[in-house]
Amino acid sequence: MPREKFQTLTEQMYYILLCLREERCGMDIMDWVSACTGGQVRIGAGTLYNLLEQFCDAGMIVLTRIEGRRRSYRLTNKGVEALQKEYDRLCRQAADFRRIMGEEERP
Amino acid sequence: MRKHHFHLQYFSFYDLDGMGRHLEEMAARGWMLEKMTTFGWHYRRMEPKRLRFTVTYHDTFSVFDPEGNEGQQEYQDLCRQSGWEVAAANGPLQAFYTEDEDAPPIETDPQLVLETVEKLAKRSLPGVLGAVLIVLQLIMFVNNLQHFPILTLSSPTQLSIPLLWFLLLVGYAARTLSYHRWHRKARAAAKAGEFPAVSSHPRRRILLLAVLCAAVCYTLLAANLPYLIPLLLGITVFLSLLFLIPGMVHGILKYRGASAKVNRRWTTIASVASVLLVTAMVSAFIFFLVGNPILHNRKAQVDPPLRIGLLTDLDGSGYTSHAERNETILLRHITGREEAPRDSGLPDLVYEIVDVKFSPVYNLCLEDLTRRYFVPAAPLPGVNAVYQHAKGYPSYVLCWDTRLVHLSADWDLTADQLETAARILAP
Repeated sequence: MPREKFQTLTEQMYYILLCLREERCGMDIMDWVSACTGGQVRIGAGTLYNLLEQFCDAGMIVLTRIEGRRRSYRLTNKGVEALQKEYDRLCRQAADFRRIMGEEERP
Repeated sequence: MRKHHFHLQYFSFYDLDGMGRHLEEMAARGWMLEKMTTFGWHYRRMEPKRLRFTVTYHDTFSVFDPEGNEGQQEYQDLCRQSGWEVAAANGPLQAFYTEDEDAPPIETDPQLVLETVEKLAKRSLPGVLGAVLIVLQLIMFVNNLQHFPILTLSSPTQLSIPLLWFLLLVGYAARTLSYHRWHRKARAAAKAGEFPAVSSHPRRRILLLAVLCAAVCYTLLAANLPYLIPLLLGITVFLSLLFLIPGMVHGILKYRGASAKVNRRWTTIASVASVLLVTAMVSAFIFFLVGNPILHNRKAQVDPPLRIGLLTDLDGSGYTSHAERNETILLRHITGREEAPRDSGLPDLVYEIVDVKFSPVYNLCLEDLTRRYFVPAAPLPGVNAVYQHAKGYPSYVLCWDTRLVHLSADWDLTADQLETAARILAP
């Protein structure tokens, strides 16, 4: 089920995975995503917790450290693949946009 | 001034926004959510404040989780760090509040919220088995109505119990339909990246609950049971045991930090044990009452309107005269009997009077009385129609506009006797 689920990534999923290229805990993720996107993408605490659990179940991230109640995660190879796949998809969309809109703009 | 307040939880389980708004209103009135249970919410008194509340679900949290479960703590920590304090939690249901107007929302992905609610819906919606049981009860009622319409329609108990089942079925159907309607809208909204708007109707739920309670009270009162209060107390004790024993086991294990798996297992065992215990106690209770008509519907005794002495030369001495009445908003049914002393060789007389208060059921009652092979007989003055048993037995049905009388004697009634009986029993 998770593999089906993460065929495409939402904006929030994309940035969480991107952020976990380095080991980070939940609160760091929320701060990093907000800062990285200039506040354009904000992840709620409930949504983040839910997604971290689902990514772990899908093997896309791994729990690396537990300090008290603070848990840190990191991207796995499977997570990198999912991220790459999403990046390729976005690039294809961007290329299609340029090809079509670019042609239309020509006199 | 009260320091604590409790009220029933009447929101649809998927109406998280409604719950949040309600908690905000309560906080503004000076009541802070303190504890959430399956039955209702507890509040404590505080200074009235303008607070923002968010109610969320997390399906991996369970009511069986130990106190201070790590996952839940981590989840609550994350919420705390983004500005939200925990107000109360009950299994998957979590309530948070903040004074910060700009605190980021806890849930930012409508699709995830929808998926969580979908998972919970599978657990929360009443099972199909329940609906099937209710439908079976209603079919039994219709069957009784077809075969014994007078007895069914004149018995307050028989008439009100299906009403209870019907109300339960209405509640079940309304809950299921409104969830599916909400789910359709929520799916479309989530696809568009929006949170679904909920049009929950807590007032309708309260109304249904009130009608259900009123129907239960009516059923108990209408059953006219003797010793009603001891009986109610007995039922209360049995029901309390049914919930108390598993509840205590669950609470102790939770407090002692037993794992969700252990807690679930022992609570299930305690539930089964308490059901067996209560079944045994109820059986013993009923066994104790055998021979005592405490659980039977006691009909009201009435003065017999017809006596053997009014139709014959017999003075009625030694006869047992007996008449009782059962009544609902649809029918009044009086059954009377004039019983001769045993082995006296004297005749008996049996009669029943049906007063129809709701005219559409008149023909149903007439059919009930005449289906036993009755055919039209010679008319009587003042009587709309007269039927006699087709085999010529002294059994008659007399009809007026709103009254039906069935008269059966042990001897061949003369025309004069029949006319006298008709005059006495006329409405």
